[in-house]
Amino acid sequence: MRKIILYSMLVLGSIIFSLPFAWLVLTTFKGADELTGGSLIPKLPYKVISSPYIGYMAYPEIEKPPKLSNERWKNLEAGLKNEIWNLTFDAMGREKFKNDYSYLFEDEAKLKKEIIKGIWQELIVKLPESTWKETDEVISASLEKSINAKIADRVFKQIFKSFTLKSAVLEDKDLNVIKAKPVDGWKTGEDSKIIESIQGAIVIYDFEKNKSPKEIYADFIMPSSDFKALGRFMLSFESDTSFHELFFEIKTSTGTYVTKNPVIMDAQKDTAVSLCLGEPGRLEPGDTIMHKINSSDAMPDGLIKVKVILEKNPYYAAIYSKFTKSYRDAMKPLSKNITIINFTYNSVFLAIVNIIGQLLSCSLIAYAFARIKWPGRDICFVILLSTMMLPAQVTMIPLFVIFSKIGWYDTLMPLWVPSFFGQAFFIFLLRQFFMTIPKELDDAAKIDGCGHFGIYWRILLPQMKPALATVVIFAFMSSWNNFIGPLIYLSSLDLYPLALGLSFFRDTQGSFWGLLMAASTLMILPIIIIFFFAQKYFIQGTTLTGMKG
Amino acid sequence: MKKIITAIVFIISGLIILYFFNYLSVSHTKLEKGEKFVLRVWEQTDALTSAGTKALVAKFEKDHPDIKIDMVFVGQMLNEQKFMCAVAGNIEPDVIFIARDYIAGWAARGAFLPLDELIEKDKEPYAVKKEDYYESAWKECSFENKVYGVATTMGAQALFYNKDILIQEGFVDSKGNAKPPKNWNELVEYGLKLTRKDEQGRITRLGFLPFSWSIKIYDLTLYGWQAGGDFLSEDGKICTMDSPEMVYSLEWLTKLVDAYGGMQKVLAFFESNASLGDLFLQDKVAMVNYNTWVVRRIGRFKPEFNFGITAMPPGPTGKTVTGGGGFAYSIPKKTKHVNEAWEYVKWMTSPKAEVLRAKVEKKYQKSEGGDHVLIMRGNMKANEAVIKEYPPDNENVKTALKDFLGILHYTKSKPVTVVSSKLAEEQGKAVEAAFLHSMVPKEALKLASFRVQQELDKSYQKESFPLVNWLYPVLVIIFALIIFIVFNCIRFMKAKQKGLAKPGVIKESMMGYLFVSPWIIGFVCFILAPVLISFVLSLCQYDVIHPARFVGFKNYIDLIKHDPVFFKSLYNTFFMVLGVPFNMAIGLLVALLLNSKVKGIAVYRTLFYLPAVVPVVAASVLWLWIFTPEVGLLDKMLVPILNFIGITATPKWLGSEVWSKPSIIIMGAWGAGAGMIIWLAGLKGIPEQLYEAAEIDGAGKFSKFFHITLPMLTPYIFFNLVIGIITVSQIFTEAYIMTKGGPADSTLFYVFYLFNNAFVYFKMGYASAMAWLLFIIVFILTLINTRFSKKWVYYEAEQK
Repeated sequence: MRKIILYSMLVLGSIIFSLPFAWLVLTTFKGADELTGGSLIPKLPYKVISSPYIGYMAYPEIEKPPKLSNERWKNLEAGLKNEIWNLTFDAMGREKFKNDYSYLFEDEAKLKKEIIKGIWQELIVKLPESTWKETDEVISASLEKSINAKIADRVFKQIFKSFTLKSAVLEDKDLNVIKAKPVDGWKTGEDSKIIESIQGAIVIYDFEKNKSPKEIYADFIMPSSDFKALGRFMLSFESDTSFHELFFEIKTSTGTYVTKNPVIMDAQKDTAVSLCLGEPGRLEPGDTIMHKINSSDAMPDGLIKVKVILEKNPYYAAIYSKFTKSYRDAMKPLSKNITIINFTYNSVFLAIVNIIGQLLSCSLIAYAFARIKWPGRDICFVILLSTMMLPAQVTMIPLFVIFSKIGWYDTLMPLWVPSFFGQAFFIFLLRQFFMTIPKELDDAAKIDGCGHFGIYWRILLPQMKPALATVVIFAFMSSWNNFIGPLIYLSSLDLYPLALGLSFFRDTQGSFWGLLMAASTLMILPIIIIFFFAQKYFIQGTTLTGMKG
Repeated sequence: MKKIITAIVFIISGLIILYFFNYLSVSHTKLEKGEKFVLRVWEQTDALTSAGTKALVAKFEKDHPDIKIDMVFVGQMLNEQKFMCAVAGNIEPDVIFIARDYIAGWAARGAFLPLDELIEKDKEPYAVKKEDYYESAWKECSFENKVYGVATTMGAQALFYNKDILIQEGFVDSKGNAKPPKNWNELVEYGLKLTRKDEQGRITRLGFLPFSWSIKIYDLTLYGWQAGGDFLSEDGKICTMDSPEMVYSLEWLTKLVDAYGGMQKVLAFFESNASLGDLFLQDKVAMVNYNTWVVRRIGRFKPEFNFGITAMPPGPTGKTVTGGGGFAYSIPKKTKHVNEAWEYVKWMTSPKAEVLRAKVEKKYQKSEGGDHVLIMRGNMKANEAVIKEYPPDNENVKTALKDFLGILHYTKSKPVTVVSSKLAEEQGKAVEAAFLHSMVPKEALKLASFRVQQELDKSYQKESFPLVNWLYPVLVIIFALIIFIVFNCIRFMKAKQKGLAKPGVIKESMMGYLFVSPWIIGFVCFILAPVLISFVLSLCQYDVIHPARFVGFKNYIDLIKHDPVFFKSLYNTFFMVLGVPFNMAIGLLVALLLNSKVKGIAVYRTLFYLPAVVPVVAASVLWLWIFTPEVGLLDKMLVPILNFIGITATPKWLGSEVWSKPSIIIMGAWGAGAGMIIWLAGLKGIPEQLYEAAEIDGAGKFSKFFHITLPMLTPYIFFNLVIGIITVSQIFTEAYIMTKGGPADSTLFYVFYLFNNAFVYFKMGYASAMAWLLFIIVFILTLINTRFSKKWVYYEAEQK
């Protein structure tokens, strides 16, 4: 019995302590629409073979309102569903709706089910709970009152998934922009279709029979003479959440441009691609670069041909794309070409240099305190210990003044140079370790003609590995976690280490939690990996110091 | 083998360092062919406007092929801090985009270039002319008869009213259109009639909201002006906040709030509707005093909203007046490219550029949906051009924008003074005190006026303090070193005389000094010298740009006598210290669990310990998400449980003044693993015999814990307590990442306030004094702890 309680407490405790980690990682796998929803577990993407289709994940299943008896619900449910569907179908304009979206009526049951689910969600928010306890007549009256075209439209938009090409914008090299319409509308190859609707051109495709990429193309006329050569082509479209890949090809009079990396149709419904032709200098964050390729046929002056190539992503690749979206977003350039990779690079550099600095200087100094006799040693040791008492804030301001006066502001120097002059705590730690090694070893080495440096380097250091490992780990942690230092000394984004970079993400990307969590994961991951390899030294260090780095 | 690996590691590290030196030595922006200058520009914008700014910069680069623009977007918060640091580090930008309120402060510090000569010198193509600008926009850029900036954006306060509600309640003219109030009396009448209350007397709709959307931002400026008062005398040396006119305006506002049912009722109204967002757009507030940018927001998110705007109805003087504000471009004094920077400023503020900006922004806005409304400018010609070429599509918004241009003419410039932030802070407090009836308006304003006057006097007295002679501290350091060396030499000589010294002792000592030399250099450069400088600075006024001036113990006295924020931050930090035992208890509990002999302990230990190694920055970002109300992990877990007990409301965690500090303590408890490891070491050290003996004596589980375990752990409790207090007293990062010190200063911790003083308000001397006080406080706490520890800490070794 005691054991059971103990185990359950242990398990419960570990779950509570690891939940934030799970939450961190799971959030990175979620799309923006899942963040507000109820489930902890990220959803798998739709398995899309043909599009457009009806999405079944937009709304939760219908459940009995909490304060209603089971019996009443049983009587009510079927009729209620029917009534909702009828009313909604009316609100959408019955025959017209059926004509417009005839392809959805091939699987009418599914369409019905999803629409009812959606309307139900709207209703339980809108109508008071007491409604369901009323008589059937009252219920249908309130249903009639609350279901209208606006709500029906909103629900339909949520469940209707389609790849719809919307407006196109041309931009010339002087940044003049015009909204452009394809000359003859969008066209496709044999095995797919285009349906024009109010929203735009809906692409109807099916990968079931034919797995080859689908091509959708259109011609655009460049406006009159004051519009210089095409610099950027912006196309907004509705994504069908299929995680299939889009490639683009633009033919102008000057040549043919293609994209090398795909644009993935992810969970963000309203999307736009901004295709930048040539001149990498003009690239803005969010642009997709187009590369010029050799091609024999050129378009006549004033005409451009845009081709969208839709390639099937196998389901596992779709899952991969969905789960890594936050990470891809976190890797996107923040300004100019600076990405989180630069931050990582700076952090790694600082960590390596700090570790080397602390190892060399602290062990040398500790040796001097432990093994060599020199006048003033004891006083110096007392001074050393007392410096550990001094809060960093006391020296923070003068150090800032000194470093900025000698031109080290906005360089990484203030963050690593001091490490080559030892740190009181590490010196103390290593000195205690040196003291535990028997002096006889030194004496033996001395007789063999070894000097102090030889004893230090050849005899003692190799025996100190556990202590040195502790120093390495703590030096790494303090450098990796250092926040206030970079905050004070750095201004240029390209010098930011991860800690400051993450704070920058938090300030600029506000509520993009998926992205923020992905960036946090990237910062935490190295530490976790090192922790698993060197847990012993972490625990040893903590026991000795009471610090967590 | 091992040697080879070591060698490789060293070589690789060496290469990385070399590469970095190379990388650091080159300028960050590389010049391309034909470009001669790099112009460093600091812009400050959000995602939407940055699209426009970028287009303007691209055009500028095209027109000036020899200039390359290195543009940095600096966040609103960081801007001043970064600029000060840049000035101190001699890497300030060539052009800076800055709020006009700050210009006077920087101009007074001598950081900006006066632009008068440049303005007079040039004629065309886009010469800056005073007559193109609204008078107040121009005035706000001037300080002591010199111009230090060119105004760009411009806003003004105006009365926004919900036409539907006004019509519904019968406030209409002869044609049936909504008729806004004409004067203060009508404003009160409307406000009370439009207010709705439910049976319990709770406000469900507010008729007129005198301040911007959260009532916690109290700004008396506008009403004071309307009543004919002002904050400062003409020369800016005397604070006139307690003049009869100002008192009258505050009394009027207080009466209005009382008529609503008192401040608490109004606050409760906001509290209960906090999740709705902008209450004016939600028909919960009928009329409100808002700023221009709200038109932009309405255009973006609710263009069909039926609203109108008009100038704030005049007060007893009958004169229409309103408050404005906005941003400007300034040129730092030390720039090497004055002419190029001036070209840039001229281009960015020209009507032509504004038209281009409107074009680009409109494109981006349309791609997002919603209507596009440009931010109005201080340049009247630019506004005309933009409205002509790119008006909003929506009629409502278009009319509102046109009305706004009319209102802009009534703007009066805010007082251009170096104490502007103090002024804003103090008048806010006075208004709050009057609303809460903790002071009558007259008394409240008198106190506020007194405090501002103090600050004013201080700023004008600055020159009277003597400059610090840095020779003395340097001499002190040298003197200390000499004493140290002489002292050691004497000891050494004595030892030699007595014949105690062995042969080779000199060589041995030399070796020792050689080995320890890095520490000695480091100690002198990074600790001793800074400590001395810090102490000297704590006795000075110092803002990095000007030489330090000696003020004696004034900083310390000011902190203790005149700075309520200091005590607030101290209180906040002490509150966190209370969290230390809580944290320790959790660590101990986990350690006790882990100390039992069960299988898989290593796995559990790892799981409990892991959170302790997560970097504070990452943990803060993670917990910010966990604490997010409703959608965050904590609420998701807690709400079902709480609902089960019958509690429906969860706290707003970091967003609530009461819960923000406990939230950070909860987050700290997640990292209790570090303490746990220490407890575990302690538990392992308790001899088994003690328990066995106790069992024989018939002790139960609890008495064993309280009579053996706890006493044996006292050294560890002591250790954890001391380390915990020291760590918590320096808490900073959590608050910086998660709350920025808010809400209502509830997470403004000691070190955060110190950081703000040093790197945001540039009071380096003041901040140094704070650092020393922190040192003394921590020192005393540790001392007390150690003293008392003798009474309760049991050291086994001593007993034997």
